Amino acid sequence: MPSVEGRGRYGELFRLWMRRSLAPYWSLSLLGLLGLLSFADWTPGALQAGGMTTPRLARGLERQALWSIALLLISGWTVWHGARVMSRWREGEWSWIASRPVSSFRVWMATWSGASVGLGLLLIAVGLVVEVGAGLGADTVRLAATQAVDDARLEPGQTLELPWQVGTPDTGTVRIFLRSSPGIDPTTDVRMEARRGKKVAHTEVRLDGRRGVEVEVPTQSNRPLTLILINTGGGALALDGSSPMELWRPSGSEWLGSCSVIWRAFLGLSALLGLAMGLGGRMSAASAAGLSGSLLLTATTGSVGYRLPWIPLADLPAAVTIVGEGRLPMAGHLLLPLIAIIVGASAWCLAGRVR
Amino acid sequence: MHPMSSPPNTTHEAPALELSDLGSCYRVGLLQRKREVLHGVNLTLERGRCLGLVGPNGSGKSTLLQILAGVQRSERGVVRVLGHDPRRARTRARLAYLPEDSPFPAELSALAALDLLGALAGLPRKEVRSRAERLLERVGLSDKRLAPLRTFSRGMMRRFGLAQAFLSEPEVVLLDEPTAGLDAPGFAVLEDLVSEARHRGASLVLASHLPSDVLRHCDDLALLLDGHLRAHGPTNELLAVEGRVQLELEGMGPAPLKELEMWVREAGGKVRSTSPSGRSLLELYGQAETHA
Repeated sequence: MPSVEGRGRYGELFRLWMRRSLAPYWSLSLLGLLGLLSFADWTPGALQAGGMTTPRLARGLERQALWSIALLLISGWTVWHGARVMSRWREGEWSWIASRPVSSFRVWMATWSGASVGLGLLLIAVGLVVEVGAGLGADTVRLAATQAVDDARLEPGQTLELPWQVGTPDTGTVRIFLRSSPGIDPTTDVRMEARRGKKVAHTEVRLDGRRGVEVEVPTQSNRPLTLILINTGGGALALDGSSPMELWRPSGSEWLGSCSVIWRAFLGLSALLGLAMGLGGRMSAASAAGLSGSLLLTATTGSVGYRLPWIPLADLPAAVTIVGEGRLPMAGHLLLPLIAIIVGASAWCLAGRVR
Repeated sequence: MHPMSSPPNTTHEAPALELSDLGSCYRVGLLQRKREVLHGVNLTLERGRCLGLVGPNGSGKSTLLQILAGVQRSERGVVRVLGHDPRRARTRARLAYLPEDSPFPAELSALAALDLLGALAGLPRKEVRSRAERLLERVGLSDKRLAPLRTFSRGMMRRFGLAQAFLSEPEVVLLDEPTAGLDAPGFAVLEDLVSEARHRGASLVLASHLPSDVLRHCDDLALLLDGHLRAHGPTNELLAVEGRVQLELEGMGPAPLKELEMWVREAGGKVRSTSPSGRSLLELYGQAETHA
């Protein structure tokens, strides 16, 4: 009689679900589609006509387009893939799993982690296609900190002081989103100053609609940083409170933007996969996929990512937008891996009794 | 020192299977109404014996086997396999189960699927591979060992199912419709595996809606109808009540067969059917091949 250890090994089950996440018909079709799309020019005509495009921006826009398409498809597939796990079990797979000396929680973890790792490998492959298409790019800046601002309106000649309160930046640039108010004169001029003690740096721009205005942070000073906005034009000016003030620091190459997207998408989609698996234990695969998809839409729209960045996937759209500017998003929230693991593992309780 | 009387024998071996007032149901429809599948089943199978579980489709055979395999919970009653709850991992390590529909991962090759199933059974890696190779040889699938299961026919899938069931040399073997989709060589494979399991003292349950397929192996028979156990006992006793005997003859031409039929009629019996058996056809085919 062969020696039976009495406890099942789960590595093969992990590999099975990793393979299922990388099913050739799906993964090769996705990579092929993205490969074809990478030949297209993703810079809008208006930007090209206005001469506002730069090579960095063009590369960023291509990354943003390819990642948006890829994430849209992968999210939909993840939701369906996760929701189908339990129905596969109910349709018979559970019979050869559960008749072995296994623990149902470990089976769950092997299934979820295998499917998640497969998903991670697929995201890495997508990242390679995106970077080959866009070109790796040059050095760029990374979002280092943000600070919330309130809506404000500045009439011609008015000044607004905004003290920077998130640490003491030693270098980099600060960006604020401003909007010229529609009225008799829809354009206006603005002077933005960054002041540290006696050191002052400034920039002057003409606003026609909404745009981000950047100013260098004065170096070689430990004094607090204050930003001053002066409406020097003839129209009204509005400070857009829906976007925070941003501090940008030089950091790494543009291709790191794809790494940030991969990391966020991996954690977020793993959690979503676990959630869809859990819901699939309570309802049909179609209903579980629909419900998981609705939760995904809720988490990724509006200002959820800005207000609750620890929710998996919530700040992914903002990160892709930043990559689209040829810049690098802030490192993901520290709690994201923990939250993803908790959601994926605890969905086991949600699944309930499969049998 | 006074001689002491020997203590009572406490090493009593529990039966292979013990079911007491077993009930099971599933829920249907929007209102989740209960539908009873098994009603108070009481059954015992001693170790080393083979039980034929027969009954028409929908009589509850598969549910009963799933409960015995620890795949499904029972609603009420007591289930013991080798004296323990089958939902304990240690109990499940000692049994093997062949599900009715062969729902094995279709994208894996036969060898990879046996690796997976052996790993889940807790068998050491090296042992799984060597046993898998040997079993695939025995069930006649060694040339297909690297082919994905999705390319297998129903009969091949059934043979693969038999191979996975005997991968760990279990003490209790539960086979649900083991003959479904099997061709004549497949029957021989089943007979070979069942005989070997019986030889090493394993207990078996063969569930089938065609009693003739499993009768030859079974010491005991249990008849399940609409979830009720209608009859249970040694095969010979149960079949004696019916007064029917299946006789397989070899090397007898049409004329003596006719004489034999007449003799049976004179003795007060009745020949219900006469047809060439699958095995003799196979032998015929084999001889033709040899002559060619």
